[in-house]
Amino acid sequence: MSRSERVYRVLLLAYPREFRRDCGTEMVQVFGDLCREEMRRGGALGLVRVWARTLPDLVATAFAERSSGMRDRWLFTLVPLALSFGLAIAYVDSSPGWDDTGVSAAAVLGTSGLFGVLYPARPWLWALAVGIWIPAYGIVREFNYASLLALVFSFAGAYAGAVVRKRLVPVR
Amino acid sequence: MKRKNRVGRVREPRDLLPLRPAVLNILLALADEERHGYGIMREVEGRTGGQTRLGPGTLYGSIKRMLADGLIEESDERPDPAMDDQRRRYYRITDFGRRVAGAEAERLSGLVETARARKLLRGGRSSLPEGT
Repeated sequence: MSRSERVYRVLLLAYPREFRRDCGTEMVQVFGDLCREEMRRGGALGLVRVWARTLPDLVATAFAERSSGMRDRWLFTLVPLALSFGLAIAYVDSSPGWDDTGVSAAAVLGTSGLFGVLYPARPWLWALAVGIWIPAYGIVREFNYASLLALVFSFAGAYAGAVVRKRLVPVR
Repeated sequence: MKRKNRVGRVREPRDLLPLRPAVLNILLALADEERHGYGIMREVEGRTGGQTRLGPGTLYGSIKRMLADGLIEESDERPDPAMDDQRRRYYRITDFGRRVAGAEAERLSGLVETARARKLLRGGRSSLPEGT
């Protein structure tokens, strides 16, 4: 392995671990092929050309891959949060002194909408995570099938939030 | 064959359009034969007269997503004995990948027709001033 390949292999640390595991060996191999070909064609200048085009590519794609990983982590952070908010709303809604169904419905609508705005790719997930608890509790404890209406509010909120987000910040 | 996404919805080629230039170039490179990463890189560079050069990061980032999307798949065959190496992975286009590439080519063809109808192209050449 040439010195350039060894340096390139170290620079691959800029990529997420999973990406390096899947593609790292091949990337070093392809980079080595490029170096040999350009050295044969243009000597040391050829090698400089390889580095000049590889470094910007490495910086841009490492940033893109890291951002993609961040999106996944963002999702895994938001799911427990949505579940917790949904549970809290169901807890308040089911407490003995609480009889303001309108406020519960607005809370489900607003919370689902907020998660739809934060992560518009999966509105159904937020609708279920936030809205499932009121009907779950209502049906299990009181056979209250009307509580399934909470899901209508959660789906409406989550999809409305996703639409608002996509209008404000178009997602490619 | 229709492909399904992660939540089981049947995906149509147009769901993936427009393709990124790197993805379309890789599909074109694999349209006629299976190739390994470096072979794809060389084919793209040669076909575009050096105008498009895929860096290793762009190439493998695209390949990873294309494998996940079912546009290409790994091949067990070793079609290039001159550069054969057990560590090299070869890739081939899938039927779905062909349909996606075809749909993208039709989309681009429509754009070219529009450009021609609006006199932006004259006899296959751009009407823009030289050097722009």
